[in-house]
Amino acid sequence: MNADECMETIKLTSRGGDSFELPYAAARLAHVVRDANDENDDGDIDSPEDVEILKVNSPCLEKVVEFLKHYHEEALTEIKTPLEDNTFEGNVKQEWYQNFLKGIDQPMLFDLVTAANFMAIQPLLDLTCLKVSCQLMGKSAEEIRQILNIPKLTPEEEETARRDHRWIFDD
Amino acid sequence: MSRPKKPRLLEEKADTHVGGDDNAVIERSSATVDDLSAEMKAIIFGYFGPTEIMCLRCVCKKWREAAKKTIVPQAPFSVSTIDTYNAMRVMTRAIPNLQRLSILYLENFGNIFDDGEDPNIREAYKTASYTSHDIQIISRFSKLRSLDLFQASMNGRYPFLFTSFPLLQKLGIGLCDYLKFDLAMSMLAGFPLLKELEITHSPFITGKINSLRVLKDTLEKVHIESCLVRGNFMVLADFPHMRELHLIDVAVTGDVRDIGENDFPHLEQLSLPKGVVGGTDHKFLRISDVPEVMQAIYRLKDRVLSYYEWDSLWLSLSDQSPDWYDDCISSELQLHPPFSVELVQAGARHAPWMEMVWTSYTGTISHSCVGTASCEINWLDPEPDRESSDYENYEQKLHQLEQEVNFYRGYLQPPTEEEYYRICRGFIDRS
Repeated sequence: MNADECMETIKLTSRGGDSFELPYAAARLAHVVRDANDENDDGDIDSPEDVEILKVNSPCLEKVVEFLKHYHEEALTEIKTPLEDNTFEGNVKQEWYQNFLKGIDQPMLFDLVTAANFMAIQPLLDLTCLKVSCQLMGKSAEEIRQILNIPKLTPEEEETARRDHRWIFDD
Repeated sequence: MSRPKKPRLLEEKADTHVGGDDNAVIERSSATVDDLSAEMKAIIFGYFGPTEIMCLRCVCKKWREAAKKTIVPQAPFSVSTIDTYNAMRVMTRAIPNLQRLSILYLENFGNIFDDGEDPNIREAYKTASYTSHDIQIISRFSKLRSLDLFQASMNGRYPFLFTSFPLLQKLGIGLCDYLKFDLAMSMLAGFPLLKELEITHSPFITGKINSLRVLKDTLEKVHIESCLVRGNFMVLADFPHMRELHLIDVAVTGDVRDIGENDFPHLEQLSLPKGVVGGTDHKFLRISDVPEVMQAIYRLKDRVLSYYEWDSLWLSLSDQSPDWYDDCISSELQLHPPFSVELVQAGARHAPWMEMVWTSYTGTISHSCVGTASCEINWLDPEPDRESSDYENYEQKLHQLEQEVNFYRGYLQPPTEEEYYRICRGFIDRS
């Protein structure tokens, strides 16, 4: 059977034991799902099976499944680099994807990045990483260190950075 | 019947997660960007330009590791000063996955790039006291996709240029006065993915256009101008993806009549040099060739959106041609025989009716004497439908063109030498 036309649904189960049901054709965007189903290069599978995603907690997996379902209906347009704009909305024009990450807190955002990476969902990884990039945009290394509570550079490191980056420090 | 579904446990395969920063208070697996693995940070950095990534890498050691892995997007980065050169030197180690680089002149007088092999001696002597800078360091950017050398202070051959960048898609070389190489298949084979090749105004770049055949399946745009490149352009006719071909001021030869219906299947833009029959400023040796060449150009216009500047296409007869005639009387009168040909158009741009006009060789001067000395028009298209919305434009332009036909009224092609002298004498008698 061709996986792309597979009408059957499967369940993805989170670390907390909650299951989320979705069509296999949508779930297979995640390469872990393909691998778990031994989908070969031609996209042929027997009968799709449920997959446990033990690395991902329930609230995060729920959000991931929401993404997978929507992506199957409306794919995310490729994000072109170099970016045209410094804002998330300026680079992602599709309203659903703009709203998808609206209002979520920072831990959820980073859980999504990690989940997208672990589950090998490239479009979700692209989208969430873009969101993080836009948060960092326009901030200096010093500001980022303060926000993230990263220790200051030692005087020696500071000197090396200054030497390497004279053209940026502009002094 | 489907088999009973058995949940499968995913092992911790391919997980690149890096543990949290010791100094940060973390309650969850990843609370901040700093906790993400270097690979994931690299994806995030991949949305920044090279300068910004160089700033981000200053945050701490882990961020430097991430910068090193980042595939830098193809935002422009140009080396044109000692400062930017020094920055690039750091970048070869800090962000080796740079994808786009432009090397320009070194701004400060007295700075050049290292001479290559077999440099131009006079130039090398002239610059002997300059401070030279290692140019080969750019070979560390092994993932480059776009490289431009423009007015770069380089002298001689630099073989590493052809062996270091297997992913290169665009190579541009312009105004490099002393950069030397001979287009050869063996060198171009070092760019198996090359789509765009632009070599302009670089007199020491030589070779045969046949060498491009090694890039047949990838090339989309070729622009070679004012270099010593030779050969027949038709060797490129079967390139399946060629969209733009500009060969200008080069010793390339050929004949537009040889372009068949299936040649250059996706061509959108075309410029040919004067050595090509039907190329820009071509000088014909035989008047009898003209109608066929104009027909060939006209057919090309149908499928090639821009064949140099269609409306300024202007071809003439070589004064070396046996068909050439002129004498002192006509020279004095500035009534030259109509030895040039022009494509003109009546109606909207790209309208499908065109004409062929014979004009005086020095049409501009003859204005002062007898108005323009055009012959009648040879139409290549049928007259447009009277109902067509463009008919008015056509009529207007037609009227204007007819007014220009004056001295050679009634001639659809250049008069014979005898006829020509008769017309001239008639003109003298009348005045």
